[in-house]
Amino acid sequence: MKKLTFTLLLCASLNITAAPLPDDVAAALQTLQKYEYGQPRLPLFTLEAFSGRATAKPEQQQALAAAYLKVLTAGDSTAAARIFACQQLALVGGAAEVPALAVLLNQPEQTDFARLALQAIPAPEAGAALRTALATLTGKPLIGVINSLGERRDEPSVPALSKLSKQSDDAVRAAACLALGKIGTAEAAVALPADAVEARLLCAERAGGITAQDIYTALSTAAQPALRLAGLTGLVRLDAARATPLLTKAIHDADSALALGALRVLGQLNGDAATTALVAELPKLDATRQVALLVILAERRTTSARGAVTALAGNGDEAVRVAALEALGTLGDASSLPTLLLAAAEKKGAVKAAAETALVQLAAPGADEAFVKAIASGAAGERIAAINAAAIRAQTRALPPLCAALRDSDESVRAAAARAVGKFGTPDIYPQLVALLGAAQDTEVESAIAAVGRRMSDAHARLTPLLALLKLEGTKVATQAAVLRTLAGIGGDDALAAVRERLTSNDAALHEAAVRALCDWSDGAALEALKGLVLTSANGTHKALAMRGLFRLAPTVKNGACWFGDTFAAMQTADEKRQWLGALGTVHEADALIAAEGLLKDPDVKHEAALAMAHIGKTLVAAEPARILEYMNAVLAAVPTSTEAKAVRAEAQQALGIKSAHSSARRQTLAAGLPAAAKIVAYLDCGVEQQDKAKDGVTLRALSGQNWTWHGQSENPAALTAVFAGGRLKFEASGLQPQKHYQLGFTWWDYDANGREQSVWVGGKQVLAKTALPAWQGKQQGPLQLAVAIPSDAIKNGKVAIEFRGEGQSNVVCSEIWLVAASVPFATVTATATLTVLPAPPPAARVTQPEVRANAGAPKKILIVTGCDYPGHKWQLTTPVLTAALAKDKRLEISVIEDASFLGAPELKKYDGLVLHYQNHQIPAPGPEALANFRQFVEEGRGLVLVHFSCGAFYDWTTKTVSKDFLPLAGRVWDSKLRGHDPRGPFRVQVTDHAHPITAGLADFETTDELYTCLSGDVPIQVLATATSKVDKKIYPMAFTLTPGKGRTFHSVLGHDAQALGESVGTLYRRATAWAAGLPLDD
Amino acid sequence: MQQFTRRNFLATTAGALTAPLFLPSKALGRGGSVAPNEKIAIGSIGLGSRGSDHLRTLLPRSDVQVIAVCDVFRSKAEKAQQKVAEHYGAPGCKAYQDFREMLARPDLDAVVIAAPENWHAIMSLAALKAGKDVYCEKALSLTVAEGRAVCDAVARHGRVFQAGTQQRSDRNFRFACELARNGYLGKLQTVTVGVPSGKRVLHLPVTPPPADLDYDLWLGPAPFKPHRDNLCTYNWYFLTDYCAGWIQSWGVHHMDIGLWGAPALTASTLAVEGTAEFLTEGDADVSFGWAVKLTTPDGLQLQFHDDASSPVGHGCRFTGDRGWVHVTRGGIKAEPAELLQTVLKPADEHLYVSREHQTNFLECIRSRREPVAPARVCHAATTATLVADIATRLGRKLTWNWKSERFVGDSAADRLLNRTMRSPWQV
Repeated sequence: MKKLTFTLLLCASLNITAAPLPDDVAAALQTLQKYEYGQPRLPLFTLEAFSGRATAKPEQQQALAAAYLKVLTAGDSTAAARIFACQQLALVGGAAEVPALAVLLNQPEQTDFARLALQAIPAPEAGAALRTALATLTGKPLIGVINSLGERRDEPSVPALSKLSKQSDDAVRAAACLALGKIGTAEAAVALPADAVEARLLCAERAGGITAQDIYTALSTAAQPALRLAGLTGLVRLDAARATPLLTKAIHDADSALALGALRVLGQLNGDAATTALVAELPKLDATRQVALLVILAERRTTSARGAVTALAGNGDEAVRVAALEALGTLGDASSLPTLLLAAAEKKGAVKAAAETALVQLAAPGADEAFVKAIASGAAGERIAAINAAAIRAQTRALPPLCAALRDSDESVRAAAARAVGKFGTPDIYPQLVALLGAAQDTEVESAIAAVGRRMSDAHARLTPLLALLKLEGTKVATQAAVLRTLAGIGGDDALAAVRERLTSNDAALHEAAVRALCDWSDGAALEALKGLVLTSANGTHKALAMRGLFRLAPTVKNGACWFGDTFAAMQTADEKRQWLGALGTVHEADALIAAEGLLKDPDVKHEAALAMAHIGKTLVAAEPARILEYMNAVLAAVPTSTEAKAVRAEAQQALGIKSAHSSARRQTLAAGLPAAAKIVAYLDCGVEQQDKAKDGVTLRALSGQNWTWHGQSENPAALTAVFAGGRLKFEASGLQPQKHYQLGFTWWDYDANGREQSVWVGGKQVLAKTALPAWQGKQQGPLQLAVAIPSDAIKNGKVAIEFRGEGQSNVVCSEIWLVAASVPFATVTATATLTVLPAPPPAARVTQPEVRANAGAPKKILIVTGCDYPGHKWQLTTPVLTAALAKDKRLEISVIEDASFLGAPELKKYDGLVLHYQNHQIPAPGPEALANFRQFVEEGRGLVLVHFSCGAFYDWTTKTVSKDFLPLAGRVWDSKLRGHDPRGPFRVQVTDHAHPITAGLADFETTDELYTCLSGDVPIQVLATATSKVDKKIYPMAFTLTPGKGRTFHSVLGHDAQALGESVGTLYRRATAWAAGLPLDD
Repeated sequence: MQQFTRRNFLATTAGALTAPLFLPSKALGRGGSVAPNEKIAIGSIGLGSRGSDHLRTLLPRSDVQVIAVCDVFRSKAEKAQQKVAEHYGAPGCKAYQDFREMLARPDLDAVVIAAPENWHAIMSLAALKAGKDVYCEKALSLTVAEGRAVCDAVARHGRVFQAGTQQRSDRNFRFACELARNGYLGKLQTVTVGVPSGKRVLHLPVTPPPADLDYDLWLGPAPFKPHRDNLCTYNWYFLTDYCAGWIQSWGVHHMDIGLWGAPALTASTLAVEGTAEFLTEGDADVSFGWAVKLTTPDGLQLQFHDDASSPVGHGCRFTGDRGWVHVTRGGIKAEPAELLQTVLKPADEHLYVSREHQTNFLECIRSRREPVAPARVCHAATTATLVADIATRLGRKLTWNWKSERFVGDSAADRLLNRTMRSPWQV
């Protein structure tokens, strides 16, 4: 009694009973109850989101848990709803929910679902419920409960589990043992049989103490090596000191996995006992184990093993040596150097490589001094090893002995020293290096001088020693040549002067050296001299070298073109002219264009001239589009096939706002296809044009992407050029006017059949869901032109961001893009809600009330009913196309609703005609009442138009047939037993009844569509048009009419996608709709 | 009870000391082909796209013999079996539908696991207990609790376990972490991780599973839900019953790098808070985009994003007060750029060098050395991603304690660290 009162008081004070759930959550719970897989996820999403947040407020959490429990226990909840409720209760459930869950738990088919929640609910009541179920369940459900108790580490269940661990059923026994292991108390351990090894190990880990000791000790003497290892590992964890001798013995075990495992475990122990053992054992092990131990010692940084490791590095098994040498990289100190150097001096192989690595890694104190000594003296091979390591280590203290080594008697030592010095030598050794050059020429020394010189900022310091050497009496020619070569790498006026002096030398070798030095000069100061050589040199080789140097340097200086102009006269052969042009093409100056233009007339080199001019033009086109346009026209006059020039010309035209011929043509073609009130205000031929700016300020710009051209044929050449990007293509439209409505049009094509699928986003919202692009190669599908209305709220300050996103295999492309403006709204493509950041739930996505889309106020009211369908029928795309086709008859006011349940609404009767563009492939049909209402609507004397897949509306999922009450309205319906349709492709539609008002005056036409072959029914119909199947050669009706009651139905199977709702089919439907609505038709 | 027998890699003859029958890792100089009794016998579990990739790289290896392939789609297992037979020019590889049968074979040394996330822990544990070494695709497990079980089992049995976070065997990633750890970026302030966003899952109606699929076995521990045609291939990534989404399964890659370069992130606790976006159309119920901050008590922060919302785009960026380095599978860049020319000093910390991920696994099987991406390391990365996901779902700031592997003072969050498995499955 007292307890109850307390609880009541507690309730009152926490106001538990008065904790309501927010409306959207309550609504979602309602929807949840009837949830079936396939229905929109929104309610589940709402609930998942709320469940997480509700855990912050106990009252909310409890209210929510209670609500889920209601769903779980209600008799009419769907299975899907119940599973969902259980999964949520895992997070929000509490003791209050346990009783009901316990009931479910004891029903073998429901045990797993109840466990979803019970295992996770911490309250002790949950554990109690699970324990109780142990007695009532058997087989798999019992195992599940055992597992849950194990996961909960439920100690009170140990007695019951112990009993179960002796059961005859293997699976139950194993589960019970494992659960006991996870619970891991001493009592649990006692219950476990000897062969439940895993369970016993778990118990040992959790229980520790004597329990663990016993288990591990028993295992450590088991027959199987793996068990012994597990036992030893455990013993070590309990008492490392005591277990170390056992481990030490184990590393000699016959089983290598056990031995290596034991080494690993021993290696992980800190402390001297382990260290001593490891070091002591190293020499006693066989090769494989030694290798493993060496790695361990290095990882462990056991420097006390250094001696033992070193002993193994010198000779013996190669793998062991390698491991030992590598280990010395970490463990070694200065005293290890001799060993390492000796090994590094061996011939190429693993040992040498290991030693070299270790030499670089050696970090112990005293190592640097040891290197210094090692460089200075010793066997050549070892000195070289030391020198190489010092270079990588960049040891500045090694520089003095290195410099000394530069004069060593051994050539290989000298070379190594020079390389090392070049790598990291400092400026102060520079003069020594130069002096060395004087003593003996050496390409390595030259390179070193150049390398060190490059790192010196003081130009004077670089030059002076070199020039001094050059002027020195008695300096050999070869030395002078070497100096000259070096000067080339350094550059500067004084150096240049020195070189130029020797251009007129009588000594041929020196002359040659001077010429070469000049040609290798590092900056444009040499150009004057090079020009002189090019123009006047009699020596062919020298001229060629000079040309090379000039061509290399001229593009790097200002007014580089003039060097080309000045040397043109010396270009005699076609080959020379080509070289000249090739280099000229890299000069980014207008003068270079002038220089090259002359060669456009030269038949030998005109292509190279064109290429050069195009390259130059490309760099200048942004700054001087008009001028470059002239030049490119000149190029194309001489070389019409130059694609590079064409590309630059296109850029120039674009910058100047000149539209290419076919861009203007396209714009006109597109404009012609629009209704009178709509105008194209911007157009971009993507892949060619980046921006279109109109006089009235509307601008359409491509913000990202690269241009691409597919080489092929197309009626619409603009479709072959595209802009592409990896994941997103961004465009921006600006200058849009607030009172106007805009539509985005575009053409896209997966020309090379790369599996492209793309979506379109405007203002950050999706306006077109993921759509596969038509593919050309292999599939022969042409480019697709689409139009999507731009929602007015996406335009901010006259600007809107447009994005194409790649959703499929390949990148994202667009061939053309344009904007259409009108003063009335366009049919919209509705975006389904995709992104939301909690807590605000997203608004409902579908248009659930009729919306007028065209011809508002017109006398006859037509409603297009669409909204749910098989994913292959893109109703979001076809609805606007259909709307536009019907709207051409201004007497029809077109509305759209995306919810077929409206068919059951009394408001339906406000309409004169319905266009059914819907099929309930995924979402259940509105139901018999709606169908009855709909039937009455038609039979009372109104119109009905059925489009394509609507022949499958009112599909009954259980009988797998279309509802028979729909047949009298439709005339023929989809029969799933028949072959569906021909593969989508072109075919001819023949008008067979020219008397009927709809088809009077209509000619036969071609269309690309799915030729349906799947209708059946016995209601009398009047067939208006037919087509012949390519597959079975039979004739099938494409359009027909019937009169249910006082109503009029037109039914056509044409119109699978936007392309199939072209001119002729659109006309057919328009006339049909007018007829169905009771309007007269004139031709 | 399983009979634990391991094939003995050493020759038992006396001559073994002078001519070892195999050489670990870098030793060269052994011409000729490897004798048959030295090959590592491998079984492949899961032959979807990733599993097939692994098989493709295993077959040409002369030190490996693929003796078993397994997939819940019998046709996939049989196709793989054919491929193996064609490659070796001989039969001898058996096809399985149930991995438990494969694991019972005493002649199997190691397994490669490429199944959905909800299977990783179960299969890994079964293999470890059966005495096999394991290469398991990332993430380590579906939940933190499962991951802990795997780590404990690896230690308990002394097995070699390589997680499929192969970026650890990529020089650029290692170098970036070495720069960060050795102070070349100055004091580390931020680690930014961006990985691909989630995807939509097209809703398809319920259909009966194909005849060659053991659907109940495909589901395994996951709650029973009806089959749809796009469920069992790829799309399970985006359904919480099987995977927490790319926040986990892709996130683990760059998160692993982030933790490798900034070990302070796993030293004590992390404050975790963030938001995520979810799709409301289609079937996917994992996060589509996310932005989560994980901060150490000292203020070092890891910013975890999908790459569309990441301030630095895709990849892992370490930012210190003297510069940053940004690494992806495509390359590495740094500011100042000279950082990329850095040569580590001998006294700097040099991280574990692995030149190729699968090779490293195979070498460690012989040497019994810990591989470059062991279970405990992948567990940390997986845990970080799961903790981030939990924070977005609860919509409040959480504190994660690495030592206790629990949240601090949030029992609701703790509930999400584990999940009930359908009977008879358990870890």
